[in-house]
Amino acid sequence: MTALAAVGSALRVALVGNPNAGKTTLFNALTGLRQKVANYPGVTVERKEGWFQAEGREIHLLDLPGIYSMAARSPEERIASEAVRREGAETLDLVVAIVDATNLERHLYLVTQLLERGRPVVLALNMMDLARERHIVIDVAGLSAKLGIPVVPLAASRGEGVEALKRTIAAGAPAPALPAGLADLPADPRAEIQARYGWIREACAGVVDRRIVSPHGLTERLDAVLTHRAGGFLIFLGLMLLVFMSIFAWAEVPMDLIQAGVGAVQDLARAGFGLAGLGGGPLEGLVVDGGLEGVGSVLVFLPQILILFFFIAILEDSGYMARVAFLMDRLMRGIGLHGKSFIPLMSSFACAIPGVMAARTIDNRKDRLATILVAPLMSCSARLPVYTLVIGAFIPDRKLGGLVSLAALTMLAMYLLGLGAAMAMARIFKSTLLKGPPPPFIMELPSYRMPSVRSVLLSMWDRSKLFLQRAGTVILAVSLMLWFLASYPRTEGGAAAPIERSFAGRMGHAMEPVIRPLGFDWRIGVGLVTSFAAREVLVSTLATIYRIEGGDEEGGRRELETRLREERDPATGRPVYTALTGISLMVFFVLACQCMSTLAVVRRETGNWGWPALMFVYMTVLAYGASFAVFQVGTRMGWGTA
Amino acid sequence: MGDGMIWQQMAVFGIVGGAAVYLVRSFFSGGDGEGGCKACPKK
Repeated sequence: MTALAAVGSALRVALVGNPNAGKTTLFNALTGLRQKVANYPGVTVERKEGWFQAEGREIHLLDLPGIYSMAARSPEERIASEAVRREGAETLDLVVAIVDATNLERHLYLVTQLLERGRPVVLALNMMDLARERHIVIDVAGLSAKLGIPVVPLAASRGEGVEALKRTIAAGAPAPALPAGLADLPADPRAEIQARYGWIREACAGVVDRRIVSPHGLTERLDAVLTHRAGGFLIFLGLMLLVFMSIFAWAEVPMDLIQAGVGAVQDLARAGFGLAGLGGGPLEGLVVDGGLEGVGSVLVFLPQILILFFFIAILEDSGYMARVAFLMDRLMRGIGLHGKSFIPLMSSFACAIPGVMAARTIDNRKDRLATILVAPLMSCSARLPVYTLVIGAFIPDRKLGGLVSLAALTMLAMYLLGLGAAMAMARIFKSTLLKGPPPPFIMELPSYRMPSVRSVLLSMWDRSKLFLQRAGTVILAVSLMLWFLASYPRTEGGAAAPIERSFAGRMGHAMEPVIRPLGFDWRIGVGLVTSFAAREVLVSTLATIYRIEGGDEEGGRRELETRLREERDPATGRPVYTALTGISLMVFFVLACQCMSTLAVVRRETGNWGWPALMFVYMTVLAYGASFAVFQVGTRMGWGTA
Repeated sequence: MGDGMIWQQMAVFGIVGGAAVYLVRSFFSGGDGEGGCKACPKK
C-alpha cells in the first residue's frame, strides 16, 4: 500500500508548477518540512510528501517535479502527469498550481492544461514580492474570474500569503469549468500551442499591468556582466578561487580544535581500556587505532565542507548558479550535450548521487546516459579531504604575486580538470556510443535575490549531517576492516606482525608493480582499494597505516602531512612521496570512479550493470592513463626529485 | 594466548565481520547515497 492510499479521509493535494516557480519553498512553508531548495530549476526530481492542518482539516501534500507541460515526455513530466491523472485511492482532491507572477504568461501554459484535466485547481500566484519590485500589477480577482478558479497571491520565500493559501486549500474548490476558448483548441500540436498561448495572452491583457518595466533593472545590469561570453567565465573562475582560498584560510583553527577533540577521545578510550584490564590488547587497537583514528582523520575536514557549502548555498540561493549553468550551456551544446545536463553536473560538485538522479530531468535517453556517465568526474565533496591532505603536504604555502594562494590555485585546477574531463568524455560518448543530435533547450534565468540565512544554514546543516552520517557508517566500517587487515595475521604469540606482512601490507605490495609507474607505493595502493567504499577513506587509510606503523606516536592531520613529506625509501634514502606523487595522486582521484555508492545508484537509474561497469572501466583507465602521464612526464622533466 | 586474549580476538572478528557485512549490504541494496542521502529514495 502506498503512502497516498493510507491517508484515509485527509484532503489529497498536489503542488504542480514549472521548474523554479518556488514549489519546494512553498512546500516547506506549508508543511514545515525542509526539502532542499535551490535557485535553479530541477531540484525536485521525485515526488515528496508532507502533511499540514488548516481549518481543522488534515491535508496531505504532494510536491511534484517541476514541469513545463503535461506532455509527459521526460520521466519527471510522467511522474507529475500520472499523479494528476490517477484515479481510485490516489485521486487528488485538489491541485495547487504554482506560478511565477513575474512570468505569468509562460507559467499559465501548464495551468490551462491542468484545467483540462477536470480536477479542482487553486492558483498560487507566487513571487508577488518580486512582481511588486518590478512594478507588475496583477488584478487577482480579474485573473480568478478569467480562469474560473480561486487565485491566492503570495511570496512563499517570505511566508506572505501562505496562511491564506492554507485556508483556500482547506475550503476546497469545485471542478473548474473550462473557459471558453480553451475548449476547442486545434488538434495539430503546433497550432494547439499557438492557440493556447494566444488565449493566455488575451486573458493576461486585461489583468496584468506592467507599468514600468525597466530594461536596465539590477538583474539585467548584473546579467550583462555575469553572463558575458568571456568576462562571465573569468568572474566565475575568480569566485571559485576566492572560495578555495577561504576554505584554506578559515578552516585551520576549527580543524585543529576537532583534531584536539578526537585526540582527547582517543586518550579517554585508551584509559578506559587500561582500567578494564584490556590495555594494549587487540580490542583497544581496533577501537582506538582503527575506528577512532579512521573516523577522526576524516572528521577534521568537516569545517572545510561547511565553508564550501556556505559559499555554494549563497551562490545557488542568489541566482548566480543559474547564470553559471547558462554560461556552461553554450559549452554543453558545443560538445553535443543537452543544455539541461549542466544541472546534474553542478549537483555532482556536492555528490555524484544526487547528480545522477537529477539526470532524470533529461528526456532524451542518450543524453541522459551521457550525463550520468560523466557526472562522477565532477569533484565531489568526498574528494575535498584528499585534495586538502595532499595540498597541505606537498604544495608550498605561497602566494603568487602576494595575492593568489598556490594551494587554492591547485584546488581550482583539480576542479577544472574534472569539469574538462567530463566535457571531453561527454563529447566522446555523444559522437560514438550515444550518438544523436542535442534537442533544443530553453533556460529560464531567475531573478537575483538576497540569499536567505535560513536556506544557507539549512544547506550547511544538511551537508554536515550527511558527512557525519557517512563518517559514522561507511567510513567507520572501512576503518575497522582496514585496521584488521593491517594488523592480522598475528604472530604465534598473538602479537601484531610488522604491517608489511599483514593482509593489507601484502595486498599493497602485490599491487605495487601496477601502481609504481604512477608514483604510488604500497600504502597508497591499500588506500586505493579501501577508498572504493568512500573517497575520504584514503586519508583515514594512510592515517591508520602510519598509526599502526608508528606505534604510540601522535596521530593527527599535521603529523600525517609531515610523515608523507618526510617518508624515505630505506634502500635509497630518497623521498617516497614528492610533490609530483601528490599531483599524480590528486589527478587519479579526480578521474577515478572510487565510489561504490555511485556505481550502485547508476545501476538502479539505468536498470542494468552494463552502464556502471562501463563507467568504472573508462574512469579507471582514464585515471590510470592521466596519472601515468603526469608522473612519467614530470619525472623525465626532473620535477619528481624533490 | 590467554583466555582474555581469545575472547578479545573473537570480539574483533565479530565486529570486523559485521562491518564487512554492512558494506556489502549497503552496496547491493542499491547504494544508500551518503549514508542516507535525501536525494536518494529508499527502496
